[in-house]
Amino acid sequence: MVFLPQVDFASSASSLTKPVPVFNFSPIASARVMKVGDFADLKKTANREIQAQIWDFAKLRAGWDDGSAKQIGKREIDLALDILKDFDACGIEVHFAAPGVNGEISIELRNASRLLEILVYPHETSFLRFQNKNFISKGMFKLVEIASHIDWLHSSEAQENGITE
Amino acid sequence: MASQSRNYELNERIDDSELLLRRAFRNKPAYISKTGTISSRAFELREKDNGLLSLNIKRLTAFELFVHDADKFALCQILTKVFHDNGARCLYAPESDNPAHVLVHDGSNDDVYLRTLAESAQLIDYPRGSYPTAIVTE
Repeated sequence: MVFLPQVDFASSASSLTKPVPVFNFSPIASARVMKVGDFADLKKTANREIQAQIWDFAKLRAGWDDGSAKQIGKREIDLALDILKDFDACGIEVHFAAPGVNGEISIELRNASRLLEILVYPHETSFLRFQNKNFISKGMFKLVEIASHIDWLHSSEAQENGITE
Repeated sequence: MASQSRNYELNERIDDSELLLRRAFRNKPAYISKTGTISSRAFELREKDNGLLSLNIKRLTAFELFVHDADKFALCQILTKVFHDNGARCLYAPESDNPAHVLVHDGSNDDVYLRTLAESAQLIDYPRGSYPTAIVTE
């Protein structure tokens, strides 16, 4: 019988002692310094893929659309990652993220009938709500209000399942 | 319904029932999600296009010429009526190498407008074979 040493990672004093998964894509050394534990921070596998996509946006240079697209700024990338991490911490999967030619990042969350799109522009961060492909509302996005967005996404699932409050 | 033999004159308004095609980045960056949903950014106006969105009439399109690079671009289809219902005008604008070309006038980069287009569009298969729907990663 082989006895393996028992390691209590949870009580480790330093995050450097925690196991860090290895992924098959390269860090963006020139655009962003990766921190130990960046990947390990996210609970959802789908969100780790979105995280990798957002990091890839930093590689896009001005004119990346074969036209006049702007480079995606570090501020927008960092803010998009913060939004992703906050949803992940609440156990919510982000559906998709895409860069825009005006230097913005679009972040989508979906369920069967509802869509929340968050747009991180250099000058502002806004949100849109759609239900069954129809526009419902829009406004300025604030990280502190993330719970209300999650409630909105989940409330439609409850309605679809016949659950009433 | 648009007739299969319907021809347009230069700058003529396209029928509401025509299906239009739009190319969308497939990879790095991707405008198509793993589940086949389309990013609103696929319909964003670009400075080089002088405020006009470029599409093709589906039934007049030579797919091989339009796509150019199937590894780089996916194809989405959208009904002309969606543009017209949202205040834009789709006008026939043939090019020497592309008789199916259409330009959308009076569009915008308003986020609600872009998302409305994306929600109304569908990813389509390339006639020579199916596009993989998964995002390709290195």
